[in-house]
Amino acid sequence: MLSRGSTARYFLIVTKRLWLGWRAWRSYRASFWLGIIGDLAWMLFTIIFFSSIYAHAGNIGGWPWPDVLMLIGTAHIINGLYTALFEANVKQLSTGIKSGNLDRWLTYPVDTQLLLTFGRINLRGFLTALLGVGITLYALKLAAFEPRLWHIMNYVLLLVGAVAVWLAAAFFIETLAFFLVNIEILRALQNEFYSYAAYPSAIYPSWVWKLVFTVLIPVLWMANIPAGALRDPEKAIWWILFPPLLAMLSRKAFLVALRHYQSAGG
Amino acid sequence: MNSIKVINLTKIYKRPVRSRAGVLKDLFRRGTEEVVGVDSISFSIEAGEFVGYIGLNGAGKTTTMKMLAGILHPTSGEVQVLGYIPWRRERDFLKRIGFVMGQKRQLWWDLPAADVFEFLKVVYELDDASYRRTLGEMTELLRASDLLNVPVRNLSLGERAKVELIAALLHDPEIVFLDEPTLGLDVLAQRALRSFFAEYNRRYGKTMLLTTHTLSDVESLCQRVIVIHQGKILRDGSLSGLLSEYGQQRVLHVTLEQNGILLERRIEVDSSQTGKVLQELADTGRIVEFREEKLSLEDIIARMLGEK
Amino acid sequence: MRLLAIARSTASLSWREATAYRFNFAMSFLVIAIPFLLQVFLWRAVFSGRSEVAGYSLSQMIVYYVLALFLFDFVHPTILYDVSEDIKSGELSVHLLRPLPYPIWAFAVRLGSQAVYLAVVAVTVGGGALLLGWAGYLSAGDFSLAGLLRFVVVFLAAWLLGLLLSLAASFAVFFTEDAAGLSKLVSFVFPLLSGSLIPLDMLPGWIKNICYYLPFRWLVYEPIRVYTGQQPLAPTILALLGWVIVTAAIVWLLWRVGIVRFTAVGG
Repeated sequence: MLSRGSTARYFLIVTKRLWLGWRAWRSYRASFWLGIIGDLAWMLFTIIFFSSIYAHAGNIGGWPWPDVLMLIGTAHIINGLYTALFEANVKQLSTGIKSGNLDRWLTYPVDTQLLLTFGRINLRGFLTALLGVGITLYALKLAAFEPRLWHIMNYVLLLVGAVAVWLAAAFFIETLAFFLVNIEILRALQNEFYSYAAYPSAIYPSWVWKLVFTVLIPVLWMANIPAGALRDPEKAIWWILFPPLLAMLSRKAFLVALRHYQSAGG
Repeated sequence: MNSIKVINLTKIYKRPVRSRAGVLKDLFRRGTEEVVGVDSISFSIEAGEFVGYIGLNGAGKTTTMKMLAGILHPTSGEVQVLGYIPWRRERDFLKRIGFVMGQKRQLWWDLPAADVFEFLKVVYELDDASYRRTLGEMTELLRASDLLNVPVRNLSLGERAKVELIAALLHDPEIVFLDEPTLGLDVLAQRALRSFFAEYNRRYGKTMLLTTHTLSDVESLCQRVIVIHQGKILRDGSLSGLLSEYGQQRVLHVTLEQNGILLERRIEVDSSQTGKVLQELADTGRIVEFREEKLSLEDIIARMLGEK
Repeated sequence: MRLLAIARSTASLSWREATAYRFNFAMSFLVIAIPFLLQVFLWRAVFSGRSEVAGYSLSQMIVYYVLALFLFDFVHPTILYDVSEDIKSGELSVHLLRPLPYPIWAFAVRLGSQAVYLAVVAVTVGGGALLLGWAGYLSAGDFSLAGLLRFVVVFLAAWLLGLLLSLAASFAVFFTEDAAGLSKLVSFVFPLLSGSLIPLDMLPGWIKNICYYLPFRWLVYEPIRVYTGQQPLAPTILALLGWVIVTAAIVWLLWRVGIVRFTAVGG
C-alpha cells in the first residue's frame, strides 16, 4: 500500500500526526518535568561513572577521556531523538494487539506501520538530544579536534542511520507481540542497552564480538559507529548501508506477522 | 445490486492449549486446538438495508464482520463487499466502509475530537465542502456541537460514544458495520444512539449491519435479522416474522407455596395465556410472587435449536 | 504460619506464570547475562596492562559486579504494581475485610514472587561466575566459602530492607498520584548511591560522603564488602536491622494514615 500512495498525501498525513502529537504533549507538563530530572540524572551518572574510572585508570582500552565523552554525547543525541519522535508510537503495536485497537487501525486507508511510527512526540527527548550535542561539542574542544564539514555531514548521516536502526529493532520486538503475550522483558532489554552505548568499541575482544554487537544487538550503533565518522569518515560511512537493510527486514517481518494475525484470527 | 455477498464463508482459528498438569512440560511444548469461528455461512445484503446480525457471545458475529471489513482473512469461501475483496484492503474500499467498534476508541484521550477529525480528513482525502457538510450533519443529528472542542477525557461515556461515532462516519461511507455499538452505555445513551442509527439509515440510505446479543437493539432498527449460533446461520428473515413466532411468548417466574413448601417454577407461555396459567397455579397453592418476562435471545435460540 | 503459606502459594503462582510466558522466562537469563557480559568486557579493557585499579584487581572487580548483579533486583526499592493498583482502583477495600493486615499480605505476596526470581538470578549468576572462572576472569583466590556464607546472611537482611522500602514507596500512593514519578526518581539515583553502578570508594569525595549518610549503601556496597571481609558482619547486620526497624515504622505509619484517607474518600 505504501508504494501506491502519493508522496504528497503521505507527507501530509505524517505532518498531521506530528501536529496531533504536539497538541497532545502540551497536556503532559507535570510528568514532563519529572522526566527531565530523570534524564539529567542518567546523563550525570554516566559521566560520573566514566570519570571515576578515568580518575583511577587513566584510559579505557587506549581511549582517552575526550573520546569517551564524545561517545556519551553521541549516545544522548541518538537516544533523545528516538525517544522524542518514535518511542511512544512503536509501543502502540503491542498495546493495540492486546486491546484490539489494531483492528481499528486496519480499517484506515493508510499503511498501518506509518500510523505506528509517527504521532506522539516527547519534547524531553529533544532536550536530551540538545544536551548530547553540548557534551559532544565540549568533548571535541577537549580533544582539540575541529571537524570539517565532511566529518559533520557523515556524522549526521550516521546519527540518522542509528535512529533508524533503533527504530527497526524496536519494530522487530513489537512485532513479536503478534506471537507472544508479553514482550515487556524484550523492550526492557532494548532500553537497557542504552546504558552500554557509551562503552568504547575497543573493549570488544575480537571482530566477531564487534559484529555481533553491531548487526545482531546494535549497541555499537548507538554511539560508536556515528562517532567514528568524526575520526575516520571514509571508513565509517560504509555502515550507512546497514540501516536501510535492517529497515527492509523489519518491515518484511511486520507485514508477515500482520498477515499471520489476519489469518490466525486476530 | 448486492452491496454485500457472502458465499460459504468459513473461519477456523488455532488456539493454544495450556495443560494444567505437567508444570515442567509446559516449559517446552504447547498444543493447539482448532476452533471453528464461522462455518460455511452464506447471505447477501442489498444497498440501503439495515440488517441485524444477532447471536450469543462467541457465536461468530464479530468474526464475520471483521472478514467483511477486511481485518481478517477467511479460511475458505467468498466475500464481496461493494465489489471488492475485503482482505485485499484496497484504499478505495477502505474509504467506502465505516466501522463502529463498541468499546474501541480511536480518538486521542487528551485532545478534543475536532483535532482528530482534521487528521481523518487528510487520511480519507475529504475535500473541504464534503467534510464540513458531513461533520455538520452528524453533529446536528447527534446534538454534539458542544462536545467537539473539549478534550475527550473530559466527556462522559455517552458523550464519548457520540464523538467516536462521528469520527467513524466522517468520511461518509456507503456501508457501515456496527459491532455492538451500544455495549456498556447507559439506557439514555443507548436510545440516543439507536435513534441516530435509524435516522442515519433512513435519511442517507446507507447499508448497515449491526451485531448485538441484545434483542432490543434490533427491534427498533432492523427490518431483517440473521441469527447466528456457533458459527452457523440459524435463521435469515424478517424481524417481524421472528417476533410473530417468538415475540408473543412470555416467561413466567413464579414462587409458589404448597403445603408449607416454597417452589420456584419457570413456565414459558403465550402472552394470551398468562392469566389462565396463573389462575391454574393459584388453584394448587398460594402465589407468593411472580414475574413476567419476554423471551431473551438465549431462549429464542434454544427454541430454534430445539425445533431443528 | 500464614505468612509462609501465602508466600508459598504466590511462589507457585509465579512459577506457573513464568512458565506460561516461556519465552520471557528463557529471555530473563539472557537479559541478565548479556549486559553483564558487556560490563566484563569493559573492566577487562580498563585493566589491560595493569594489575590493580583503585585497590581492586580485575578478579576482585568482577566479583564485586557479580555480587552487585545478584543483589540489585532484590534490594532496590520500587513501587509494587499490585499494591498501587489496589489502592488506585479501590480493590484495597476487599482486602480490608480479611483478617490478615494488608501490609503483611502485600509483603508475603512480594516475597513469594521474588523467591521464584531468586532461583533464576541465582542460576544465572552462579553459572556466570563459574564460566568467568573457567575463562580466567575470576581467580580462585577471590572465592571464599566463609565469605559466601556471611554474604547470604547479609543478603537476607538486605532483602528484607529492600522489601520494606518498596512497601513504603507503594503506600506513598495513598497520598499522591505522582508517587510513581517520585519512585522513578529514587530508582534513578539508587544505582549510583548504593554502589551498584560503581564501587562507592571509587567515587569522587563529595559524592562518596553523601552516599555514606544514606541507607542505600547498606543494600549493595556493604554486603559485598562483608563477603570480601573488608566489612565485619555484625555491625552490618546491626545497621541493616536498624534501618529495617525505622522503615517498618514508616511503613506502618504510612499505612495507618493512608488507610484513613482511603476509607474517608470512599475507597
